[in-house]
Parts: sequence; structure tokens; C-alpha cells
Amino acid sequence: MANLDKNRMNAFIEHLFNNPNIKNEPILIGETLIINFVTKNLNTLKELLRTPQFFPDAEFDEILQFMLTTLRDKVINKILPFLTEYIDKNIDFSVINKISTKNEDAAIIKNKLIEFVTQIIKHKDVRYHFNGIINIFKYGALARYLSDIFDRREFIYNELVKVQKLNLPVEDFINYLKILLLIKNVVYIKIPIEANGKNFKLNWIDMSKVPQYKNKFFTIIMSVLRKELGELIPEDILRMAVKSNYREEETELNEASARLLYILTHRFQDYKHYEKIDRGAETPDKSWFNIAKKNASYYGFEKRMLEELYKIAADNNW
Amino acid sequence: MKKFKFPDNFWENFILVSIFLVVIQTFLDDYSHYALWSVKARNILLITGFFFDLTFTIEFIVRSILAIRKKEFKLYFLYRRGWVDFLASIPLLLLNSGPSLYFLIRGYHSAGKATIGVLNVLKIVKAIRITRILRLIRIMKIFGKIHNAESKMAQRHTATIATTGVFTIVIILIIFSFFRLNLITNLYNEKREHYTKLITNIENINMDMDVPLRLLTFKLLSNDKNILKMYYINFLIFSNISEDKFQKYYAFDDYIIVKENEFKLYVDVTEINKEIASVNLENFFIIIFLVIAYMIFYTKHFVQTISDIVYIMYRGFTEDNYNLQIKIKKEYKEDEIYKLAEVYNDKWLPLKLKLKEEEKKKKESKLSIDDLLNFKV
Repeated sequence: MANLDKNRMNAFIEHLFNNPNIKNEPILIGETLIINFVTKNLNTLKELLRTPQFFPDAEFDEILQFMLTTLRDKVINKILPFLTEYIDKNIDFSVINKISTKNEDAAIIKNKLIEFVTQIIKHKDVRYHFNGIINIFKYGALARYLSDIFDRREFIYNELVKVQKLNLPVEDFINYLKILLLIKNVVYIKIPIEANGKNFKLNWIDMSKVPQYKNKFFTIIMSVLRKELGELIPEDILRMAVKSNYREEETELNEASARLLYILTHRFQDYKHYEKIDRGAETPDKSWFNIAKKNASYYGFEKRMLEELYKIAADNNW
Repeated sequence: MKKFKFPDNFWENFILVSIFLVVIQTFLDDYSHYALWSVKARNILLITGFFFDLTFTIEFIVRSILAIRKKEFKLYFLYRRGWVDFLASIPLLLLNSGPSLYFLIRGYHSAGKATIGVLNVLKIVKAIRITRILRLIRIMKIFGKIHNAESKMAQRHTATIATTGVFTIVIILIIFSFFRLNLITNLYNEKREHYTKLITNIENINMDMDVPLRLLTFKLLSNDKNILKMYYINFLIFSNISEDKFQKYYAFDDYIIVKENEFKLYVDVTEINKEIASVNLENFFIIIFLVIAYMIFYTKHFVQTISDIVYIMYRGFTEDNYNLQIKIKKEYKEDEIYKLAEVYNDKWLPLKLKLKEEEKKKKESKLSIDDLLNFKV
């Protein structure tokens, strides 16, 4: 990459982010839009990026590699400080000791999870799906909804506490769900899967095209997690985190936390924060949950959970 | 040297300020007659009124010329309330403030009997000054901002209904003003006849009883406060008002002169003028409050039940990330617009999100190659 000017590449990436169609998007969404654009226009870019206006002295593969690395670094540098600070200051990892026989130092678990997030976030699909999680953290969604769920003691509370048999105070439950969120995106790492004597690198997105490998994928991803975090975090938590990517019908009865996080991460993935809501419009969360009720079977949401979340949003003007 | 240029909206703001002022002027014009302000103050108001009408006439002509040049005169006149601009300018200048100023400059008493008739007509025609209030509709966009009703549709609909209401009242007032013309003329004539008869009677008594005429007249009439001054063969018999006060507060139309034989009486008619002014003020406030009520209540109603809903749907149809539902008001849920909103909420938005999800799967991007071509380091 000797012939590539880093400043020029930074300026080029900045130029792409400043495009009016991307400018107002969160950085993680912007990154995906840029990557999609590059993927779809490889042939045209091959010629264009080697013109004097761009990088005339380098090979296209080299340019492409440099571009994707620069893009990735820019995005990671932007989101990782937020995530590490959030994990450091806003999650109490001692909850793990309350729900398992393990008795690990919370600080060690915290550092391990910061390291884990730092590693998995290098994968682009993992990063993209962190947008919802960052929004949940940023806008305090778990604290808001969980407090209300625990006050109401209706369907979701019953599912979480009685059916899932996780009798925790609300603060601990919030920490528990936050830990699940930090782990859940591991499914977006591409892992090698052997099929028909061939090795494929697949992630959760690919599973929709080859659902027959879902079980195999689950087994492999769990073994990866066990290896990475198994010493500190109980298997139940790891499994629940992975299952929070599954549709309602693919979860077990006692996996209510997974079903709740599946809804919330979908809600906050494309979250748009409105400073001011147009007069005559419903509030953003109320709108989203109401629409989600109509699309519940398409997305695989638990309808009764949506109904309760809708009521909570309506009552609180969220 | 840098050439001075008015800001683009200078004239627009000038006209808007003029509209506010002309409404105040219209009120003060009648109020000054009601409260019997000094002649000087009333003349100033008359001259001000003339300049306002002149300004609006020039504005209407300029707007018309510009519209004709753009071949949009019909659009301007019929659909952009050019007809309101017309009604509140040229007819007022030609039928009200123009002739009034003309007589003020020329001098009323030198004008002759025909002129007196014209002046009486002018008093009645004053009713059409109320059309000036129609101009308030022009300032709706300011009201729109106050009321959060920037919607052009809301402004146009409120303007249409306000114009219809005001215009209907104005037409009725103009029609009735012709009847009032007769009524008011009769009031003046009755007063004139009353004092003519009184003088005739005094003369008869004088002949029968041989009492000195001037003494008799003084004894019988000097307590009548309606008589401002009385002359006999150009000699002042008595005056109920000082000359200074008379000059200051009594304009040509505040008194009538009754001449009978050698007598000349100045009879106060300000009570009649007060009555006319009070009717005019009443009409003024009816129309002002009607317009304001439309602006406040109807605009709010229209915005909340029509234009807000259309605006939210428009955003939902055109903006990728705008997915807020419309609040359906229970009391209006049978309205067509709310039925449409229900379809938007329950059909379109869920479909839109599904389509977006499918697009995500196709890994569509909002960037194009053209976006790269303008890259410069």
C-alpha cells in the first residue's frame, strides 16, 4: 500500500459519508450503504478509482482493501469508545454470579466482554447489527421498558420471571439483558461450516438461505462462545444470547428474554430519534409496535409481547 | 459604489404592515366621529385613508401588470385573491377616500347643493371601507406561523371561508346602506324642517304679540343645545359654543345651516353622525372578530383534522425513514380522511417496512457512481 495516500483515502471516505443520502444515517448504517455500493459497482469502480482523480498509482485490489480497512477503522474508532465506556460504567456484571453457581470477579467478566466486543466488532455484519444495541443503550430503552414491565406484572413479566424462571429484581434483569446484547451479535461472524464435503464461511444472515444448516451453525457458534467466554459466563446465558436472534417459533418456551430482545433489537436497529414529533402523529415507539403487530408473523415477533410493549409505549408517550 | 437594493421581502412586509395600519385607521376613522375628535385629527385620518387606498391601488396595479406579463392574470385575480386586492383598493379610492379628499381640499361650502348630496352619499358609501378588512386574509401566513399552520392548503381554505363570510356581510351592508341613505337623509331633513317651522312660528308670534323679534328668539331658542349659533340679518343673536371650539370640533358635516327669511341657524347634527359611526363600528367589529375567529378556530380545526394528516402521510410516502402512524381521532373516525389514515397506518406502513426489509436483503445502496465523480481532495 505504499502508493496509497492515507489522507486522500480518508478524504474519500469522508466524501462518501457526507453524501446527502448517507449524511443523516447512523455511522453503522452509512458504512453498510457504502459497502453495498462498492459491492454492487465493483466493475465500474475498478476503472474509476484508478483515474488521476482518485488513486492512479495503485492496483484496484490494493485500493479496495485499503478503502475497506480505512472505512472499518473509522467506524470502529467512532463506536468502540462509546461501547467500552458504556460497558465500563453502565453494566453490573455481578448479576452473572446471582444466576449461576459461578463466582467470578465482575471486573474480570467486564474486561473479558470488552475484549470480546472489541474482537467481534471487527466483522462488518456484527458492526451493522450493533446499531440497534447502541441505540438501546443510548436511549435507555431497557431501563425504561423493563421498569414498566415489572410494574405492570403482566404477560412479559410472567414470561420472564415465572416461565423462564429467572426471579431477579428489575435492576439485575436489566443488567442481564444488557449482557445478552453484548454477546448476541456473535452470530454475524462468518464461521466455517462443512457441507457436502466443502467448507463454507457462513453467518446468521446466510442461514435464511440455507436453513438446513441452522442447527449445525448453532452448535458451532455455541462451541466458539464456550471457548471464548465459557469460563466466565454460564452456558445458559450464552445460549439465550444466541437465541435472541431467532424468530419466536424457533425459541423454547423458557426463552422469553430472547424473544423480548429479538423485538427490541429490531425496533432499535433502524431507530430514528425525533426531536419533535409532527402534530397529529403517533409517538415513534407506539407507531413502531403497532406496525410490528401487523408484521409479527413476517418478522417472527411474539404478538403478545408486542401488544404489551405497545401499551407501555402508548401510556408513556414513547 | 454599491447599489442600494431593498431586501426581497421589503415590499411584502411593507404591505403587511400597511394592512395592519389600515385596519386601525378604519376603526379610528369611525371612532373619531363617534368621540367627536377635533376636525384636524379627523382630516388627518381622512388623508391617511386616502394614502392607504392609493398605496393599495398602486400595489394592485403593479401586481396585475406583473401577472399579465407572466400571462397569469386570471390565476392572480381569481385564485390568488386578486379580486380581494381589487375590491379593497380602486373602488375605495374612487368612491370614498378620493372624493372626500377632493372636497376637503376644494372646500365643502363652496361646492354647491349638488355637492352636499354627493357628500351624503359618501357617508353611506363609507360602509364599503369595511372591505379593507378583507385584506387581513393576506396576513394569514403570519397568523399561520403563530398558529403552527404553515400548510398552504390550510391557509387557502381558511382564506376562502373567511372571504366568503366577510364578503357576504359586506354585500349585505352595502345593499342596506342604500336604505340607510334614505333614512339618514330623512333625519337631516326632519331636523331642518323642525327648525324652519320653529322660526316661522316665532315670526308669527312676533307679528301677533308685538314682542321684539331678537328678544323673543333669544328667550325661546337660546336654551336649545342643538342650536350652535343663530344669526338675524347677519347679526349674532346668541351662540351656545365659543367660536374657537366651533372651529376646532365642528366639520362641515357636523352641523346643518337652516336659513329662513332673515334667520340663519347652525344646527348640531353630531348625534346623527354618532349613530352612523356607531353602526359602522359595530359592523367593523363583527367582521374583525369573524375573521379572527376563522383564523384561530377554523384554521386550528382544519389543520388538526385535514392538513396535519395529509402532511404526515406525505412524509410517510416520500421519506424512507419516516414511519410514524397517524393519530385517529375517535370522534372523527368516520371521516373519509381518517378512513384513509387508517389504511395508511394499517396497510401502507407495514408494507413499507416489509419492502424496506426486502431491500436490505438485496443490499441496495443509496449511493451512485455519480456521487463519486465530484470527489476532490
